[in-house]
Amino acid sequence: MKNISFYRIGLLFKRYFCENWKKDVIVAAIIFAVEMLTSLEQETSSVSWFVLFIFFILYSGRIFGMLGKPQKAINYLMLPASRVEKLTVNIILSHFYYPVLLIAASCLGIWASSFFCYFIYDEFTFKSIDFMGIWGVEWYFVLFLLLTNAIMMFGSVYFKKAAVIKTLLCEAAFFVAFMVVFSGIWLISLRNGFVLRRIDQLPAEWLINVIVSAIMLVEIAFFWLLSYFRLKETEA
Amino acid sequence: MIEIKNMDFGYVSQRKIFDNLNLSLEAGHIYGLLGKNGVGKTTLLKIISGLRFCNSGTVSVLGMKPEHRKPEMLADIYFVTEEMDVPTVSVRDYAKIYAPFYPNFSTADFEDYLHQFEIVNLEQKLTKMSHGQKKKVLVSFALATNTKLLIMDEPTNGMDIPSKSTFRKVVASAITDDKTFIISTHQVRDLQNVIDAVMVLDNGKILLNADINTICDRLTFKVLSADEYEELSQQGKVLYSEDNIAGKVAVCNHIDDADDKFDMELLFCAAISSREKMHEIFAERENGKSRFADEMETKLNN
Repeated sequence: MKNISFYRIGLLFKRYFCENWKKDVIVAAIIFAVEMLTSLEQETSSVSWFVLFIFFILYSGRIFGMLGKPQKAINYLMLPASRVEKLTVNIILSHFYYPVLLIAASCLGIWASSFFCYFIYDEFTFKSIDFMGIWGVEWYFVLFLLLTNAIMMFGSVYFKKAAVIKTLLCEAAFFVAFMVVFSGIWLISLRNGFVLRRIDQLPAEWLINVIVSAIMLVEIAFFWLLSYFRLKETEA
Repeated sequence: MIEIKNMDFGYVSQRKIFDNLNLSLEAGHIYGLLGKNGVGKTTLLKIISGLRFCNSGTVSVLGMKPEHRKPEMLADIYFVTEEMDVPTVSVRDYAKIYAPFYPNFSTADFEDYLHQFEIVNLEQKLTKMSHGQKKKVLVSFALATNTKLLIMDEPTNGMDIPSKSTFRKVVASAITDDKTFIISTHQVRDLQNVIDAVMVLDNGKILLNADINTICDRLTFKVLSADEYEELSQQGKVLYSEDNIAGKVAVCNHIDDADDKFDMELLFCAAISSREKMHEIFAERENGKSRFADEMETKLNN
């Protein structure tokens, strides 16, 4: 038997959708309704990224929630599928399926408001959507979203209870520690009269973009790998 | 089927639950795993399933290391836990979702077992069912998977009296030569007629691992009169006894031509209270010879 089987991955997806489709439909319906109502008075609407971001975090922070309870963990770990397959399914669900579902619900909500306006004001104006340049300029936003989801997913396999809050607290603590260290280095370098390279001596912008993107992609993969290691462990 | 050699395990390093444990289980048997509370029965089942990892020694299940939890191994093992967590789906949907993971799953068997357990409404949500009903569904599903290794931890807990009888019936009908069932239980009387081999776990070791025929070959379970009890006690043959209305119910060294009836609860009490004697009586098994075989050999030599 292979370590990766598309048949078993399909079964894992089927399992997820059969058990969770109602919850997902309810969340999509809420997003749809919120976007529709908030778009009534506007000609051009933008997707409420902040609201969606909160939903992404909550979802990814609970994607491996079944490992938090012993019985659920036993059921999940004893499912005849490899760790890679289980991880792959949860990465796709949290990083791609859920964002697409919510963005689609948002867009449908905004467009639906056009029809809603027609019934209220008796005039039809198709509402265009401002995607905030997500496909071009905001590449870092996508990476940031994936990285956040990867961290939240890792939090969901690592913490047994209140995984979302604990992961956010850990992230905050890490960020504070990072800022303290960074500020310290900055202050020391200033006192010693050592000034970091001047801006014009920095590498080209495209190179910086590539390096930063590569670092973020490595970090994303790093947190996926950490989640994988948890799946190798015992049930509790 | 299952080979455990020199296994040590402890949740904390200071306190070992298993100390140099050795165990060999063969296909075609329904093993009853007995032991006091906290002795590690569930832990042993989890180690066999790959949900816990031993500290040292080797564990082999179906020729694989269980801790790897490879899909081919998991597709041939089913573990019915004592406490259950079920999804919010109907019985029918549960089978539709989970059955494809098990290549040998039989829908006809599943429906037959459910019918025998009197679970007729397959559209009922699992979460709306009572504890006993959930257990019946999961046991039916587990048996229908036709996995080579089926592990059940306290399967009759929560079942009503008729269901326990049905449980014995369906389990007995499901076992084949290439399957092994391990049933951990405290409800020994519920399973007495279905188990054909007994393992007793005590003080981190397997105190006894023998099939019922071997046990009956070497031990006698009998109600003794006061005189009989006195006589056998003096010969040191009584391993365990307890009073009842008819006299003393005792487990003794084998008595020829005794009209006895195997009693698993008495066996367990005897094993726990007379560890050394029990070990002596069953030690030959470990050497691959039975007392009967020895006697036959002696007779032939004479």
